[in-house]
Amino acid sequence: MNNTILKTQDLRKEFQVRVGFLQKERKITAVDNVNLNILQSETIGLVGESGCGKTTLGRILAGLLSPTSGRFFYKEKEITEIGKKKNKQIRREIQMVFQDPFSSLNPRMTVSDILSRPLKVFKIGKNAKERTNMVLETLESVGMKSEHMSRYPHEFSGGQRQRIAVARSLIVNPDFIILDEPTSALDVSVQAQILNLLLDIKNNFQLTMLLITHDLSVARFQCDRIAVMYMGRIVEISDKEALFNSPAHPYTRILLTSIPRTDPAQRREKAVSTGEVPSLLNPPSGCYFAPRCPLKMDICERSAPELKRVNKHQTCACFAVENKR
Amino acid sequence: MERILEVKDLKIQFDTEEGTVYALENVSFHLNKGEILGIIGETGSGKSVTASAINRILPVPPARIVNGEIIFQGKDVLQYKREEMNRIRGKKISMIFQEPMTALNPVFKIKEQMSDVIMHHQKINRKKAVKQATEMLEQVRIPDPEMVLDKYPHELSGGMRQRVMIATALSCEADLLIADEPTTALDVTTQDQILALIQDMRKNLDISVILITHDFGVVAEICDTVAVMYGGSVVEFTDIYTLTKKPYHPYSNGLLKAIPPVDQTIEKLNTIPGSVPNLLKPPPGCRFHPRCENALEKCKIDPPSLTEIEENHFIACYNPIKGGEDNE
Repeated sequence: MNNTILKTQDLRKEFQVRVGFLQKERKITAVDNVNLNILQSETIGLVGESGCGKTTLGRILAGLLSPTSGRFFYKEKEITEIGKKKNKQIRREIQMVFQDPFSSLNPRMTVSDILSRPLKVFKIGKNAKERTNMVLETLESVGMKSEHMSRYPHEFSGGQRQRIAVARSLIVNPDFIILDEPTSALDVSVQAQILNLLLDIKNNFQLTMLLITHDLSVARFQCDRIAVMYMGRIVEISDKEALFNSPAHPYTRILLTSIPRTDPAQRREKAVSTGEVPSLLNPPSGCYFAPRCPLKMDICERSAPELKRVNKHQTCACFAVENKR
Repeated sequence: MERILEVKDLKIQFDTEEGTVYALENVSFHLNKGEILGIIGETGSGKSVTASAINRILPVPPARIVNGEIIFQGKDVLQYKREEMNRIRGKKISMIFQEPMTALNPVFKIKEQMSDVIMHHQKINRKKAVKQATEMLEQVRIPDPEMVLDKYPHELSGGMRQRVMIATALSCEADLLIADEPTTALDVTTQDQILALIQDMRKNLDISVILITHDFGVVAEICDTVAVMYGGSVVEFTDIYTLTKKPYHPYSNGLLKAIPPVDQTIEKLNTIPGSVPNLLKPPPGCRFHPRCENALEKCKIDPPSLTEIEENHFIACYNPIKGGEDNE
């Protein structure tokens, strides 16, 4: 079970942006030397606030962006090196589901077209009939019916569209699915349906999943392990229960206590956090979280901490946490 | 307790090219002075239409107010003439929106935008208005108000912009602040700060607040009372403690249980089957009945009206959850 399916080594992505009146070209580092191991059949959550690089990292792993530097391995093959032809096979094995089902489905294609397109691309199925059967089977596995096949995306609700998007990723029989905020465009009652569905799919198909989300309660429901990102860097990777019961990194702690609870008896008197996320154009030196950190020490402003093991279940990039041990 | 606002049987429809949208029906609730009322609902539940109606910013037509009263400080705002309402809006009733970037004008500095609002409602000159704006920015805990005043909206972060919006909204000493999804576009750590700020403003400036949101957590964090809306109707209205512990309406209960908890790991989420109704063709009777486990024959024909079943606990349901299912 504990086989690594995907591994990144110092993965880095920089973007050139033009800022200001003079349109000066500047560089921002969206993903900053990320080292991540994803194990076979686990669901790993990638959480963080907007702009932390979680989506960029997901898109690199899905092959939609190429990294500036660093390497990543899928089933021990180095993706950054292999040729286009071999890459196609891997593209089948790694699928992605996007946040907004209103824009990720082609409005001019019927559900049946949407789902059979990947089959044609990857030359799966002998003939049209076989492909139709596969489409039907997959639709049913996400809770849709055969009568939906000839309809267009606009005829469906947001939840149903997201089911179609999930079906499209499942139909090519992938090993690894990247879900980028799959429920954040949906209402709570519909989100619950999709989250239950994803959990069922994961168990039935023995899939490995990477769930990108800003919502920690969604991550708690869905994931086995969780990686927390802040300004392009991973600051903590922990097993789920450990992360929620004893968060290691001070940022994780603040993130967790900032979430409003649905029980008014648990109200807090004051805001727990201070300050805001600094601009990536002008990052602080040393640890990026230092300016907001309650545990800040001198060293934090000079150098950036690396991810180190805290205990059996947790790794964390923080000098203060290192010191305490 | 003094009631600052009472909405009674509000019914609003929109005449569109596709037909009549039955946007609001059976909307009633009230707000006591100094309290925070949360209006919670999913997409299309009518929460924003309700807010816009109170502040009279609904475009009429296509909107049509079929029925109802909105009593604010003893008078029905629906009866005000346009000019009268212009004096109340922004002065007595202020509103902030979800996306502060679209609410602020991108080509003017914060200084100009804030002082324009102040000068519109108070007969003072620009210099005094800017001074007042500076004080308001201090109130909303912006560390360097002079610097922020000199900036354009795009130069500020999302949290900063929302602070500027709150400061602007409160600069004329409004009695009622309507906040329409004020933290939805923000990250949780920033949301936390803005919610704390709204609570402080309520205490310090003695205002009443209506907070519109789709997030139960936000309501539970700062609201005193809560109105749950579904498909254009208020289905339950009570204080927040009662609602989270003992919801009577099947929808409120279902919604609460559909939220993945942060404090514990669970195996399966409760779901409400189906999705929200299309208000061009709302279901007859109770608009929730097609998704309701407790639905009776009667629910399919006759819409239930909002009635007080316990003191200060209103529901619109013929077959509520027995004795209020205890969520403890």
